[in-house]
Parts: sequence; C-alpha cells; structure tokens
Amino acid sequence: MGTLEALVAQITALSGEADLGQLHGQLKSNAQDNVMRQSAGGLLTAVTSLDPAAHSLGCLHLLEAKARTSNAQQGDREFLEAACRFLPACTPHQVHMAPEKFAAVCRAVKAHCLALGLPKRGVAPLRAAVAKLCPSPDHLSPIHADFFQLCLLSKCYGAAASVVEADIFLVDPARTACTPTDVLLYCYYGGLIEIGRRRYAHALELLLTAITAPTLVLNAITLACLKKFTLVSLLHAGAVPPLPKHTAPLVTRAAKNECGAAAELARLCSQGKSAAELAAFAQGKQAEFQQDGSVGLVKLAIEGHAKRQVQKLTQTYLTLSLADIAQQAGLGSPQEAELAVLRMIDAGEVHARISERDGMVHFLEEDEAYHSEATTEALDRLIGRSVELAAKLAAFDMAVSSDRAYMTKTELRSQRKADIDQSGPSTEPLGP
Amino acid sequence: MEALLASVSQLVESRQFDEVGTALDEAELEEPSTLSSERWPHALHLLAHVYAGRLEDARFLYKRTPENIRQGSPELAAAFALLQRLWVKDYQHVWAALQFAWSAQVAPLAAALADRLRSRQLSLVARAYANISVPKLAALLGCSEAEAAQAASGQGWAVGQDGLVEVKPPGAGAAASSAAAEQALQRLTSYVVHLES
Repeated sequence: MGTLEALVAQITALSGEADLGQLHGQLKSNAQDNVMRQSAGGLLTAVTSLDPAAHSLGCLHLLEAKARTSNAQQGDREFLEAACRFLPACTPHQVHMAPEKFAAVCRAVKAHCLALGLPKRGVAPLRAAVAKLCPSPDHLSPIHADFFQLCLLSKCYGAAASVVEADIFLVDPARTACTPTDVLLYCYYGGLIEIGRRRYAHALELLLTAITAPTLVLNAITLACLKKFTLVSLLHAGAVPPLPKHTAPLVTRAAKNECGAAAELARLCSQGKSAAELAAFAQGKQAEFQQDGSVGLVKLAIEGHAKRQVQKLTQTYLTLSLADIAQQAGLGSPQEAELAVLRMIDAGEVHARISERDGMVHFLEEDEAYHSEATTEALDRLIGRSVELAAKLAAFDMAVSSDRAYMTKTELRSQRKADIDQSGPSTEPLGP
Repeated sequence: MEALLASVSQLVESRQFDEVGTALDEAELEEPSTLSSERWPHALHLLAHVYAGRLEDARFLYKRTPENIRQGSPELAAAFALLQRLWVKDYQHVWAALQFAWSAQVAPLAAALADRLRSRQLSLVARAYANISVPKLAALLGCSEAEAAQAASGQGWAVGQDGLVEVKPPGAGAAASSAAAEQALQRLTSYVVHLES
C-alpha cells in the first residue's frame, strides 16, 4: 500500500521525457487511484509541491482526483486557485497523454467558478487550456463550450474573440475527448457570443452547424439553436431561409412544431405586417420569449422592420423622395427618413445618395469600385483561403476513403450488390 | 496595479490608443475583481474600446462594472452616455456627449476620438450626400458653420449658388504602387497556371 508521499516522489522521478509512458501507466493503475482517493485532503499540498510545467502529467492526475472528491455544488476556492495556476503553466505534450482527465479538470474549474459565483476567474485559465489541449486551432475540444459559457456569464465576450473566430474543421475524440454534446454546445454558446458581438453572419453559421448535425433524437440544444436561428435570421436578413436538405427530418419537423412563437413571428414578417402589429404579437407571446431569453432579439428583429422596408424600396425605385420613403417605411417624417437612410448607408446596408436640394434619394448599384488595391488584396486573401480549404478537404477525403470502417462498409455493400446481380434479375425489365 | 497603470499611461502617451483597450482587458482577466477597485481607469477603458471601434466590447464592459462604481464616477457615466449616442447612431448629439471635462488621463484619448469621429463623419457625408446644406454639415461634424465650410473646401467640395455644398463622391483609392501591382499579378498568374494544369 503506497502513500501520497511515495506517489509524489514517483512523479518527480519519472517526469523525464523517456519515462512519461511508464508514469502514465502507473498513475492510471487502480492502486494509485486508491491512494489518491484516500488522501484527498493532501492532494492540493502535493500539487503545490510539484512544478506545473515539469510535472504536468502528475499534477493533472492529482487535480483530477481532487476534482472527483470535492463538492462542485458548493465550490472549492482552493481547488479552483490550484487548477487556475496549473492550466496556463502546464506542458502541452504531457497533458495530451490524458485528454479525458484534462477535460475533466477544466469542466470542474467551470463548475467551481459557477458554484462560487466567480465566472470571470475561469476565463483566462480556460482560454489557455483550449490552446494547450488542441493540437492546432482547427481542433474542437470539450473546453470550448465551457470557456464560452464562462465568457457569457461574466460578460467578457471580447475575451472569446480569438477562439470563436477560429474556424473548426476537426473533431478528434481520441485526442481531445470530444463528445457530440460538446460539439452542439460549442455551436450554441459560440452562436450566443457572436450574437452579443453583433457578428450575425457567423452566429448563423454556428447555429446552422448545430441544427444540421445528423441526429436520430431531438435534443434541447438543437431546439434552442433553432429558435435563436429563426430570430437572428429575421434580424439579419429579414426572412428565415428554409433549412438545408441535409437537415435531419426530425429537426425540420421540430422547426414547425416546437418553435411556435418564433416561427409565427417569421410568418407575420413575411406577410409584410406593420411594425405595430408585430410588436403587438410579441407582447402577446412575451412569456414564451422570456423563457427562451430572446426578448432582446425579438425587439431588434421588429426594429429592423423599417430598415427592410427601405431595402425593399431600393429594389423597385431608382429615385424616391424622402417624404415617400417616410410614408412607405412607416417613419414619421422626411427628417426621420433621412436619418434612417443615412444610418443604413453608414452600415453599408444600402447604397444611395441624398440630395438635400430637392429632398430626393437616388439609389445606386453597389458603389464598390473594383479596381482598387483593397479589392485586389481581398481577392488575394480569398484565393489563399480557398486553396487552404481545398487542401484540408482533400486531406479529409483521403482520410475517409482509407478508413477501415468505411472500407468494410462499402466492401460489404458492393459484395451484396454483386450477389444480387449474380442471382439474376428476378423479373424481366419493363419496357424497352 | 501601479505597473499596469504605468504601462497604460505609456501607451496613451505614445498615442497607441488602439492597444489600450486590449491591454486593460487582459489585466482585468488576470485579476478578476479589479473592476470594483476605484483606482481602475474605468472611463479610459471604456473610451479605448469606443476608439478602437469595438462598441460591443465597451457595452459589455459597462455591463460588468459593479453598480457602486457606475454611480460613483461621473466620468464613467459621461463615457457611457457617449457610447449610447454612438450605439444608436445619433450623429448630432455625439458631439454634445463628447463635451465633458475629461480628466488628464482621459483627455488625450477623448481628443483623438473626436478627430477620428470627425473624419469618419466626413467620409460618411462623402458617401451619402449629393449635396448638403452648410448648417447640416456643421451639425454632423460637430463644429461651427465656418469650420464646416472650411472642411468642405478642404475636400474640394464647392458651394453652389443656392448655398448648398456640392459633395463629390469619394474617388477610387490611390493607384496601387507598381511593385505591389506586379506582385499581385505574379500571384494571380501562378494561380491560373495551377488551375489550368
């Protein structure tokens, strides 16, 4: 029967590059697990006596054992501080040996932050943890969602910028211990962050990823994503696009049945109801929207109504007086209409020129001149990005087509087909 | 805190206003309870985000500032009032909100912000108006009519017979330097060759 002191001595002795594998095996064994469980009180002292960078693997196991024994409902300040010191300092290749344990420690950090009511404490450590666990910024980890949740709760949306803006291409459960729930939560919380930062296009992209994830059962996260997706589409584009064909049929059905209030609002918008009517409807469904936490989004969607009316006018008219715009978009006066158009030009939502002499607005085609240096640069960037994406796609295609499970499956299918062909067509083909 | 304040005031002195907001954000994450300290440069932090064009970050910063600080700092309240005007794009009242006796720490940033807003407004007018009256231009730029007329002539905009300023649309960007253009052409050529092979 070993003691904690012996274990710490072992960690210190075996943390060399060559011995890490042996140490990992030792730490995983049941005997050591019992030691850690029995001396739970001394675990944090043991962690402090070790160097987080040199003995990352040992620290990780000790912290994870501590996380299992401490009560996350109450929150443990000491554990939280120890883990927050460890996460930014640990050595990536050591913690890569036990991704599940690392993810578990991060989850515990989040839980303790929430229990103690200190969400901001965990933001910086978890941001560091994301970088430590992911082999490249293309990877998704279970920590992403927890990190976003803390950012949302502490209102540090800006801190999430670098993580939420990185495009995720790889979900590799073997290396980052990701589960399907983690993917969905990443999309949902990431979407919420982008909504807060008013980057609606990216928010929609994230939410749509969650909605179109293949599934056989409906879950609450997808449903929440659907509701937000409907409202953000309304706000951003003025209409809700149909869900893509590869959406699971179950989700398409849920979009009709479960998102009652949001879908109804979308329908009213598409019928061209006035802003007052929309507001009255939202008032009636107040309780439902409040429950989803989307009262603000609903308000914004309705406020965007006048804007969409002006945008519609640009498709019909080349020149229109401010008075006419005010009347058709439901704005009070020509002055108000002028301000509204000015704001839209500022935001790049319409291209127009206001002439104060005759009180007219001339709507223009896009005023972008494509022979500028900036355009060349943007084009260049896009081409570079496409090349990069094509390479990623090719690599992924290669990985799938050489995957054993995939090959077995296609092999079986082609064999079955060959069998049927050999036994001959059972009926004569119809027609010539 | 001292070290941080020193490095921030150094950033302000060297006029690297864009970096002030991010630096303060990072310091805040290092020491989460720091926002409740009265010595934290709250107004500077908020205005730095506004200056960098991150209105969203400025808004969330205000939201996470403790209530007693919000009540206790008139300068923070003034900075927030400015943010509100900018948030709703209330172009004319922004200037009134900028008129505040900013403290010595904040004043350089506030002045730089006014300059940046004015040039932004001028380019907005260039995009949005075919012709505009001088009083309206003055209101949008937050200056006197004489100054507005001067700004207009600085852009090469002439005043017509009826007293309206004829706004010239912004010209295409300056011609690319030939070296950059050649480089771009070279890259494009290699892409096309790659696609055809």
